[in-house]
Amino acid sequence: MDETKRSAPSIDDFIGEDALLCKILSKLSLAEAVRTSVLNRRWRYIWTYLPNLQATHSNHCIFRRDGSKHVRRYTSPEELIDEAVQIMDSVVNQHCGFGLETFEVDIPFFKKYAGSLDRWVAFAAAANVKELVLKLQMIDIHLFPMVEFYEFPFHLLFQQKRQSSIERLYFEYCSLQVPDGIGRLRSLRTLTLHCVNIDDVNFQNLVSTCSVMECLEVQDCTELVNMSIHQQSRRLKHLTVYYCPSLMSVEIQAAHLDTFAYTGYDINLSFDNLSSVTEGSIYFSSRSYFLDYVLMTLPNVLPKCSKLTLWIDYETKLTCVPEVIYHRFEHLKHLVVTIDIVIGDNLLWLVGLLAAAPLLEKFNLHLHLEDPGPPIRVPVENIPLAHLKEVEIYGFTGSEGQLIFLQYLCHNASSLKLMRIIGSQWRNFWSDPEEILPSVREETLGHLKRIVPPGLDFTISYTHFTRSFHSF
Amino acid sequence: MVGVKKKMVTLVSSDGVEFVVEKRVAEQSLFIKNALNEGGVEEKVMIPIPKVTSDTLSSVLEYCEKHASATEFQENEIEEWDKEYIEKADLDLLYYLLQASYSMSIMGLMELGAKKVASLIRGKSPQEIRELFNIKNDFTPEQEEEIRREMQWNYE
Repeated sequence: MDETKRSAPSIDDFIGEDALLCKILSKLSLAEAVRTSVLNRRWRYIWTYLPNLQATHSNHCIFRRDGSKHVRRYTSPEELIDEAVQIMDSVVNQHCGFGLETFEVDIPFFKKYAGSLDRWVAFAAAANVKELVLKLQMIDIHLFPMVEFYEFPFHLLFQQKRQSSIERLYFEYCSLQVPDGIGRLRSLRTLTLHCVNIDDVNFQNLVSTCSVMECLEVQDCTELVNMSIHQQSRRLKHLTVYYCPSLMSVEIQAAHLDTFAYTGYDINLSFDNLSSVTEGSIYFSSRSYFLDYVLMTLPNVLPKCSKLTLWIDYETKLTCVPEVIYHRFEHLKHLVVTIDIVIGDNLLWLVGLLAAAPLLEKFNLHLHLEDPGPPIRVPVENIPLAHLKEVEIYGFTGSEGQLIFLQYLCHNASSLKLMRIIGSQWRNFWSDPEEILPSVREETLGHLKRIVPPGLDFTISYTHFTRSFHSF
Repeated sequence: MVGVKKKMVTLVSSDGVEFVVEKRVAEQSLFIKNALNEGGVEEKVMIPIPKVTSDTLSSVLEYCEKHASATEFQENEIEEWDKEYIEKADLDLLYYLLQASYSMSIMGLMELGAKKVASLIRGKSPQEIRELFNIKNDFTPEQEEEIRREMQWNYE
């Protein structure tokens, strides 16, 4: 051994705490961390205290016996997954189980892995894992057209006194059967179901075992038809439902629900009388009378809503201001409206929404306009927007319809303090900004000069310029 | 802030060197933050930092100072700074920083140091790792062979 090598500082002399070595290993891929057990006696079992274990087929290296590195024979995706399963099989045999925080499986599922997955779930449950994440997503759907779902062995979670102290569960491409009264998930705070086969009954059984659940996210669960969340979920604060294609209704009795987001087809939403939702986000795709729903029904569904996000798509019929406003959002302070590719240049229908929120303070408008076309002129009654202080508009193209709407806002919002306008990316995308923008810019600025009242903090920015003026 | 006197604390390294720093800088260390809360003393606080020498402590405080004013910088600026900071540490200092971040409970620094050491391990054969970190192999060839066998997938 030569002189320089002998004088290299020894990590074993300098770092006394095994916990620090374990911290270092936690930054490596599982395979690389396990490899360090061959270094010497001290390192032999350090990795078996790793708090987070992840089975994945994407990021581990293979080393040859002679130590040469980065030499990788050709492997098919399936071989890589086989290998990842083999690694985790060996890891759960050796890991001490102490202090296990998260156990994550991030590999596509095939039936042949079911036995291994069952063993891993049993290991993680016995180690009192806090988070169990099963992302069994499909790989290339063309190569493997048969989608296989892992049947999650729920009974394995409840080996001790029919209770589990798990705090977070994440299922993707799993099939869930939850027999009534199987046990209690007494610490579960967060539950995520993505592409999960679960029917109404099993869903209800599952939710009713989670008495302290705070956060529930359901996405692409095709078997759900009527989703009901009953009083057992007293602590539920956040609920997200995203594109469950068979869903007909969502019925919720959760007294402390704070945020609710729904995206998907037109369904019947019902909350108990005490709906406490303060932040709502609603998108009914392809519902032509969405605006009528928002104005006639939604104020009763979300009566305490203080922030509301709405998505308007090309199917929505943009009816103008209703003559009578039946219901109001009495607590709404912040409204966000995203308009997705609407053809036509009339924005005055938004006035009906603004008028239904008498206490509105902040209004954000996101425009994704493809071709505004000629403006549609309709007479609109001036309704005072007494509390509106802040307006932000994204995707502004300077079209006549938009300017008319701005004029309306400036005229009726007497306490308006701040207005930010951010130019459209679309227009720059389709046409040369240098050619189009200057003319639009000058014309628009000319109009705005006449519209914007003195004292308003006003900023307009395109990709290429920003201009602020406090008064003209 | 003009006119407001900054609260200072004095840290004493294991070799007896005193460092006078702003309280908010020292409080990047949870160990010190807790010590200050328990003491409840406002002025002339002296906190001994056992097992951390003056050389290491001055480097640790450089980190704390930057991160105490992290809000003034963009996130990627801090990331860049971190990268440069840990890059210039040699192996000895890296060990000392890790040990200090552990005993002083400075989570960000511990993460940074651990990531750096991990990056040195990554992609190396066991023998290369032993040489780099001067790890003495105390296994008999038979024992080593057995461990390797257990994890055959790693050494194909």
